[in-house]
Amino acid sequence: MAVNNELFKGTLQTIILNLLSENERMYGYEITQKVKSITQGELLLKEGALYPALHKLEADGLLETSTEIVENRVRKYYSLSQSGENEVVNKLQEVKDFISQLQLLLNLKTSM
Amino acid sequence: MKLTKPQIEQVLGCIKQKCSSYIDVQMEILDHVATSIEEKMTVDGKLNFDDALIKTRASFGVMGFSVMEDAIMTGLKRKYAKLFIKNFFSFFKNKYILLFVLIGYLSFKFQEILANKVDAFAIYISMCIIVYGIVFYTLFSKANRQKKIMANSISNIYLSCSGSFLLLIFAIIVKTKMLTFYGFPATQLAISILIPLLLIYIISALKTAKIGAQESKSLMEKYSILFKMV
Repeated sequence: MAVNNELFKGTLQTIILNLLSENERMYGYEITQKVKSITQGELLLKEGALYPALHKLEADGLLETSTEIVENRVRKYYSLSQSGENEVVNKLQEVKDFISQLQLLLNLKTSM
Repeated sequence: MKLTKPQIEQVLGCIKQKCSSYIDVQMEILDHVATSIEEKMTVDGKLNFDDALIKTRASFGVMGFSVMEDAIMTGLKRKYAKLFIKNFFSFFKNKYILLFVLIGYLSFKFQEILANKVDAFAIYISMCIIVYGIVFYTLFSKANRQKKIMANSISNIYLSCSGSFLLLIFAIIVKTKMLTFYGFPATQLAISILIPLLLIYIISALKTAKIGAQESKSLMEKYSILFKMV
C-alpha cells in the first residue's frame, strides 16, 4: 500500500522515539526494516524521511549516538537520551489524542 | 550474506564519487547501503553483489545519496548551533556574571589609565592579535586536524566567525569616537561592555569546537583502523 508521505511525516518522530524506547539502540537501516516488518510491508520508511528525522531528534537532544566497528564498517547507533525518554511518553499521548480526535472527525463526516 | 572487505571498499568508492568528501557523512551512508545490499542478497540468493549495489543505489531515487548528506549536514548545523547557544548563555548565570562585570570594570579602568597615551585603535589592534592568535592556534592545532569530518568543520564555524565580532567592535569605536554618555567617553564604555561579551563568545566557541574535535577524533580512529588512513 502506498502511504501518503504527508500523513507519515507528522508521526515519524514519535514512531522513531517509540521504537528506540522498545529496542534500546538501533541503527538507521534497522529502523526502516523494523517499520517494514511491524506493518508487514504496508508502510515503507524511506531514507529521505528517516535521516532528517533522526538528525533533527539528535540535534534537539532527544537522541544520543555512538559508533562502533561492525562487519568492516563504522555503524552509528541511535538511542534515547534522558530527555528523549521523558519526551516519548508525551509524544505518544499526543498522537493517541490526535488519532481519537481524527476518528471523531472522520466518523462525523462519513455519517453526514 | 555479509559483504567482504573489498566489496565494502567498492561501495565506499561508489559513495565517494557521488557525495561529499566528509568521512562522517560517507560512513553513515556506507553502513546503510552495505546493510541494504546484504539484505537484498540474503532475500534473493541468486542476486550478485553488483546487481544488489545497482538496486540499492536506485532505491535512493533521483536525488541519490544527497538526501542523506543534506539530512546529516542540516542536523549537525542545528546540533552545534544549539550547543553554542547553550554554552553562550550558560555564562549569564550568577557565578559568572560578577566575574564578567569585574572584567568590564577593569577594562574601563585600564582604558582610563591609558587615556591620552594610547589610542582606542591601538587597544583594538591588540584585541585583534589576541583573538586571532587564539582562533588560529585552535583551528590549526593537532587536536583539530580532522578537516574531512563534517562535525569538526561545523563545530569550528563559531570560532571562525569571531572576526565578525571584532568588526562590530571596530564599527562601534569609529561611530562613538567623539561621543559621551552621561559624561563618560562612549568608546571607552562600549569597549568595556564588549570585551566581556567577546570573551564569553570566544570561550563558548572554543567549548563547541572542542566537542566537535572529540567526536571527530573518535570516528577518525575507527576509520583509520578500517581503511588504513593516517
